[in-house]
Amino acid sequence: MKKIGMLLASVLIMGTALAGCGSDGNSNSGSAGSGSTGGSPAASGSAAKDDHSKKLSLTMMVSTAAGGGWTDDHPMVKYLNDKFNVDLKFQWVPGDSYNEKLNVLAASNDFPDVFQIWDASTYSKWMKKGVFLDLKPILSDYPNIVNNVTDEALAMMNPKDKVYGLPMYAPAFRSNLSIRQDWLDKLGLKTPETVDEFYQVAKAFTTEDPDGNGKQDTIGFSMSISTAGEIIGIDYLKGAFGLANAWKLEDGKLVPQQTQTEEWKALATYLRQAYADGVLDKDFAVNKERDPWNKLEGNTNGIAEVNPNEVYKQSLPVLQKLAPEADIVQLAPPAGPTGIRAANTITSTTKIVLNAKLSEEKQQRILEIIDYMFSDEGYLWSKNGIEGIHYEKNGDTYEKLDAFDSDRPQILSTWFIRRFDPSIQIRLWDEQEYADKVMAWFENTEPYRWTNPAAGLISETYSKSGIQLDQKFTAAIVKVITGSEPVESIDAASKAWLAGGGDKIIEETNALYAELN
Amino acid sequence: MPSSDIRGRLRRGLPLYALILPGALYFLLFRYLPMGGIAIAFQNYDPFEGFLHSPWVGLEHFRRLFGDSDFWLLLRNTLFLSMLNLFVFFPAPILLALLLNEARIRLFRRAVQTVTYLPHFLSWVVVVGISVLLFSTQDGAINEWLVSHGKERIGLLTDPAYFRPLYVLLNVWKESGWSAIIFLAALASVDPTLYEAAVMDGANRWKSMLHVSLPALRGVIVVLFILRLGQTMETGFEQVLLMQNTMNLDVSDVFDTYVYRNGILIGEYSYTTAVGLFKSAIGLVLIVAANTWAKRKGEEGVY
Repeated sequence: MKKIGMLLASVLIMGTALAGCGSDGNSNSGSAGSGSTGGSPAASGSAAKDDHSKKLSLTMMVSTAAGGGWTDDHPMVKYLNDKFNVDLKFQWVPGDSYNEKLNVLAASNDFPDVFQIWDASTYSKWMKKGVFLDLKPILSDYPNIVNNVTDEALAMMNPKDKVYGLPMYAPAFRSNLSIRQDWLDKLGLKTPETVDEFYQVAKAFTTEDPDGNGKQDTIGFSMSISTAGEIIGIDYLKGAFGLANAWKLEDGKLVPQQTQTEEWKALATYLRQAYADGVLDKDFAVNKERDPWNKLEGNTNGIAEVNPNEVYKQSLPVLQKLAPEADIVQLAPPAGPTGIRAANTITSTTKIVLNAKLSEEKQQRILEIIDYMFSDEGYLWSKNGIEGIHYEKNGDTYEKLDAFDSDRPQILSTWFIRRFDPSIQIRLWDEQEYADKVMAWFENTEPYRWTNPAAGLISETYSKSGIQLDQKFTAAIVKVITGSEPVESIDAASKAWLAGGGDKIIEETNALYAELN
Repeated sequence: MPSSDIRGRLRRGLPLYALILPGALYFLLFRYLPMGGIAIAFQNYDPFEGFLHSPWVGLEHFRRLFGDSDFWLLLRNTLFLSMLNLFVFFPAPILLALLLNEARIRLFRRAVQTVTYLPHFLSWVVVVGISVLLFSTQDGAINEWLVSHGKERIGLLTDPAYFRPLYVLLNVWKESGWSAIIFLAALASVDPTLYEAAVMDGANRWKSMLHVSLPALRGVIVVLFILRLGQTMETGFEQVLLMQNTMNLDVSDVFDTYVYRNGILIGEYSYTTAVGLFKSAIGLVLIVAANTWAKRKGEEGVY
């Protein structure tokens, strides 16, 4: 009996031990690559126009957000299948793990037919390896695509005379600063105009019990740390204290944020005080990207960056269940010590790419589908769904049907193919007043544009070790914020960043910049 | 030995060999064949060039690892966590099994056993999720209680000082009940007459536990201990990754999370394979050493 117990033990444990060992060697040999020359499609015009007589099977990989993707028999998928005689297979990958998924696919060199690249350095690395199809020679056959993206965005991150990916549009001001107006009113406070006033307000939100439950359980503002090692959600403060949005131009030279030690020290000192006073969310290091906003919706956070498209349809209804008198309004970025006001400003570097290995007929069919989604008709379709299923037309007005909410036909227009148009989330049946309210947020933020002059310039060293360097630099800043290291330690962190590869990144990025200008 | 004899034995053994075949194939295909992939640790593996065309770089990746400023931090954290596993977590199920063995009410014993091994079936995502609800600084249950009693908040999830205790605590909570099953099985096989004899000799319950139950477990403990040593470099990747954040990185960054960040997030397949290989090599050395030592001490060992 003792023997049996032993045997049982060894078998059980050996099994797991071996399983552990085995997984180390898993990322082995992929199929031999397609060679390093980029796939080049047939010269324009020479190919016979595809007449859709052959049914093609296509795979598309889409990064998803809340709610996930569609089923294969979704009415929108069926519509495309019938219209273009294809069999579309979507792979819906959650946004948080999309880059991981791509790297796993890369290890075996097995990509879908169409997919997105969110990470600029991945794009530039794989572009050189010939993973993506050069669309330049054929793009002129698809006027809806050409006319609805900007030339600037099309050229960005591509070598001259090549187009390895279509730009995915992002509104420059998707994340706008917002504040709980009802909390301000309740505590008798003015809208803050400077970072000092901002601090006073945030502190009152923390200590003066704005939600009136008798407990000190609210915070002034919050932030989070991205997997790429950046502090996110406080761009308005970074800018106010003089930091650049990643890079700034000084006498024609690009200078990275990591060398702005004085600005970092000022910001870190501010945040350190906020952390000690409980004004800044103590859980910021544990937060996911949307948590500051979630906490705003959860009635515990008073100031957060939000997407105005979702404020009226999601945030306010959710929040008003907890606090019926709640009101979220836009807050202009507070002015820093030198008067700078800056808002979170996005330059989209996301690309939609086609697999270089695609056959000619597949290339055409896919581009036709994309072209359709950029057309007036297709844009209406991808934003609002199918008439009669997702909405109805009654005379001059439109009415949303219940199926719209359950089917979510609009997800391709928000997650994949977007026209260059800030109103991508305004629907046919939305009242003009609502549309105006949303668009007003974007317009109000416009004066505080805070651009990154080096967006899309990816140096080789950055691709290799940039993320690690940034993570270490941020970790040092975080230690200052939490009070475990003195403010001066930022000098050392900046030096370490430069020595660890930052010098090279500066040199290479400036070279890339000079090439383009 | 004449050859006909061998053939005869082969024929007689044929059904047995056939029985082994599926298992052997499994190990060959899924355990030994993939080991060929280790070769990419000595290449600059480029998925677009493929396994055959990637350039060979010898030991470059190992040099980079040992020269990395993070190497000692990773080694220290990895060893620290596995020592905690070895000396704090490992005895926990043994203790639990001994205690359960002493419980005389069958129903109580069954109930406790079930309750303690249930957490094993929860995934780490759920366990860490629960721990966030309990331990987070701003709205965690513990901190809310502290604040309502006029005390200061504690950064249980973010203060590096709490990472290691929390790591072991979660591990013990989740796995000790399950791990105790093996020990309970071994205890069930102890001849009851031994206990009777001990009582006759005047042993109390403490003494009989010390001199009957514990020696009965010795073999299993040694085997499990050796196997555990082989996993010294494994610290429970999922758990550590989920509990990791920018603030506790100094104590929570281990080889597994380093490999994940560089291999999966950045795509440095070769380098991370080298790190994985280094880890496995250490594990192998420890297993062989521990086994040799155990055999010298007259225990059975694992092979």
